[in-house]
Amino acid sequence: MSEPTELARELSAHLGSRAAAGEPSGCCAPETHELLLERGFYATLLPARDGGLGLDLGEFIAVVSELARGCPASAWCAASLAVGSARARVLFDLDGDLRATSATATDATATRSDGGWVVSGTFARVAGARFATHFLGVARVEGESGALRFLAARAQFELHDAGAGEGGCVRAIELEGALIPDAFAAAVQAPVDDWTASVPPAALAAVFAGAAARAAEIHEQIVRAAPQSRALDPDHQRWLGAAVARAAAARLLLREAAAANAEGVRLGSLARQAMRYASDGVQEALRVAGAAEREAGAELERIARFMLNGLSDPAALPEEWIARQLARERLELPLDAAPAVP
Amino acid sequence: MFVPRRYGGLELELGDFLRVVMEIAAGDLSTAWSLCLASAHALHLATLFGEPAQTEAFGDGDFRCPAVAAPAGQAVRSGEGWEITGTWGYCSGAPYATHYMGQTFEAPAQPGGPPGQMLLFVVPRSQWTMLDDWGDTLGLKGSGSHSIQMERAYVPAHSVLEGQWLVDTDTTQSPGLRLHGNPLYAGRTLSVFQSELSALATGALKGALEEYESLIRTRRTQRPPIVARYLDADYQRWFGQAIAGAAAAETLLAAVAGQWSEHGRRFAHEGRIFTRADDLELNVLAREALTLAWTSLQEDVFRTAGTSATRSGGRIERIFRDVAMDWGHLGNVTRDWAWRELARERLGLVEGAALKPDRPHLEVRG
Repeated sequence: MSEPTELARELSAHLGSRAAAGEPSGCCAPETHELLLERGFYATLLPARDGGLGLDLGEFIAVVSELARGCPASAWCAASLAVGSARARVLFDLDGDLRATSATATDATATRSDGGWVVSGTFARVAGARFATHFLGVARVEGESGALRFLAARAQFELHDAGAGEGGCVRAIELEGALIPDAFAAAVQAPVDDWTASVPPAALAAVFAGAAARAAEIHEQIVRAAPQSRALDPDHQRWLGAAVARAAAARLLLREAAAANAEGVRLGSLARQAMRYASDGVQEALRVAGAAEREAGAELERIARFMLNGLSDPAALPEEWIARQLARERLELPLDAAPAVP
Repeated sequence: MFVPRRYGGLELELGDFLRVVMEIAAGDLSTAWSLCLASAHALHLATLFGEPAQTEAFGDGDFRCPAVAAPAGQAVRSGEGWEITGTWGYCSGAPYATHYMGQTFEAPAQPGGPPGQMLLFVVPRSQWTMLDDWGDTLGLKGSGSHSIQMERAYVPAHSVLEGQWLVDTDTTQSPGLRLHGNPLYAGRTLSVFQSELSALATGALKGALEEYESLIRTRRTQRPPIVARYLDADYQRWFGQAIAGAAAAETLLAAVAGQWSEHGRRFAHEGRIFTRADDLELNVLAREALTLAWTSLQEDVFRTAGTSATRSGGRIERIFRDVAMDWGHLGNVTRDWAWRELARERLGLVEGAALKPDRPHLEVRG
C-alpha cells in the first residue's frame, strides 16, 4: 500500500466519526475539510511541484476508495476538487494553490466581449463547490455550434443550496455576467470529451467502491452479531457472499482499468459497471440487514443514500449515453455532443 | 500452453492463457471449449503431481488432457498401483486427447459399504476408450465432450493422488513450485476453473459483437424512422451495452488472473499462504464475468438481432446455443454455493479441510 493510501486509511476513521456532523449542511464537517486540505487530499492529482501528491490514476482510485470507507460524501468532495484542479491546470497552464471543481451539464451561455467572454448561467449540482477556489465549467456559445470551456475564480460565482441531500459539498453554482479573460477560456467541439467521459466517472466509481467495501464490512458485522444466528443461515451466508463479491468486483474492475490505461468512454463504461456492482451490493445488504440499518443516521443507510444520489450525479454521465458512445466509436461515427439528461 | 518449459511447453501466465482462449472463442466456442479444457489441465498436472508422473505424462510436451471433477467408478489397489474402472461423462477435448485426468473412489472396504477415499489420477489414452455419445445437446456440439470409459486400467501409484479433489485443492505442499521454480505452479484451482468458463463466454460474446455489427451495418430499422440500424439510437445503445459488457468481463478476468498470479508469487517469495478464501473470492469474481457475458448476449445481442439471426446455422444462433451451455454448466450452478462458502470462510465457519465429495455433508448449515 502506498504512503498516500496509508494516510487515507488513517484519515478514513476520522471521516467516519464526523460523517453525521456534516449532513445538516450537506457538506464535510469544518475540521474534516481542514484535515483533507492539510494532508493534500484536494490536490492528489496535482504534481508535487504545485503542492500536490502527484498520484497516477490507479493510486488516486486507491486513495479515494480508502477515504470513502469512512465517509463517501467527504471522499467525493475531495475527489471532485482533485479532478477539477488537475484538469484546470492542464487546460490553462496554471500553478500554485488551486482547488477547482468542475461540471459539464449546463444551461450557461457565453458571449464574446473585449478580451474575453461573458458567461451567465447555473450549474445545478457541483460536488466540492463549497471549498472550491475556482470553477471549471462549460457554456454554449451564442450563435455557434461549439462550446466554451472556462475557468472562473471564486469571486465570479455564487453558491446556492443544490437540494441534493447526499453531502459531497454539492452546491449549485451561478454565474451572472462573469467576465472570463481569453487566457481562461478555450473553444471546444462539445461539452463532453474523452477526459470528462472518463476521469470524473472513475473518481465517483472509486468512491462507490470504497463505500461498498465498508458496507460489506457492516453487513458482515450484522450477520455475526444477530441474535438468531444469521451466520448459520444459508440465505444470509449467500447474501453476504454476494455482497462481498460485488464490492470486490467494483474495486478490482477499477484497479485493472487503471492498470491497463483504459481511457475515454471505455474507462467511463468500466467505471459505470463498477458503480453498478457497488450499488447492487449495498442495496442487497440494505434489503436483508434489518430495519435498524435503514433508520436515518445508520451507516449503511447513509452509504445507500449517497449511492442513490451518486448514480444520477452529472459527473457519472448516463450509462446509456456512455454505451451509445462506445458503439459510435466502434462504428467510426463522431461522438454525440453531450448527454441530453444532465 | 501450461506445459512446463522443461517438457517443451510455454508456461504461459494465467492471464495470457485466458486471452488466447477468448480469441479462439470469438471464432468458435466449441473449438475453444475443446482447446481450453484439454490444455488447461496441464497446469494441474504440473502443480499437483510428482516428477515421475509429470515426466511420464508430459513426455516431449504433447499433452492434451480432458478432466472431469465429478468422481465416478472405483479403484482397487493392485501391486504398485491401482486398477481403475468406470465411465466419466463430459470429457471435453476427448477426440484429440493424449491423456485423461479423473476422479474416482477407492472401492469399499466391505462389499456394500461406503466408498473409500477419493482419488485423482492421470492416465494415457492407451488406457481408455472414447464413447460415441456427444453431440445431441442444445449447443457446444463440436466441443468433443464425449464420455471416457476405463475397464480395469492399471495406473501406477505415482499417477494417483490419494484424498485429492481437483476442484478445491490446497497447494501449499504440492511439488509444482519446487519442480519448476515458477509460482504459476503454486496456485489453487477453484478460480482457474471458473475463469476458463468465463473467458470462453466472454470470447463468444466478442464474436457475437462482430456479427451484430455486420447486421446493423447492413440492415434497416423495422419502424420509423427507417434508417440503417447502425445510425439508430437504440441499436447503438444495445450494441454499446454489449461492448461495455464484454469490456468489463475481459477487464475483470484480467484482474482475477493478475490477482491469482500475485497470490502464487507471494506464496513463493514471502510464504504467504494462498488461502481457500482467496481462491473463493477470485472464483466469485470470475463468475461475474460470465454473468456479464451471458446478460449482454441474451439481453442486448440476441434480443435485438432479429428473427433471421436465429435461423439454424446462423452465427448468432450458434453462439447463443453454445453460450447457453456455458451458462447452464455445473460450474455456474454452483454460484450460490460459492457465495455461501466465501461467507462461511469470512465468518470462520470452515474448520480444517473444506467439504469434499468423499466427506459426509452433515454440517451444511454450520
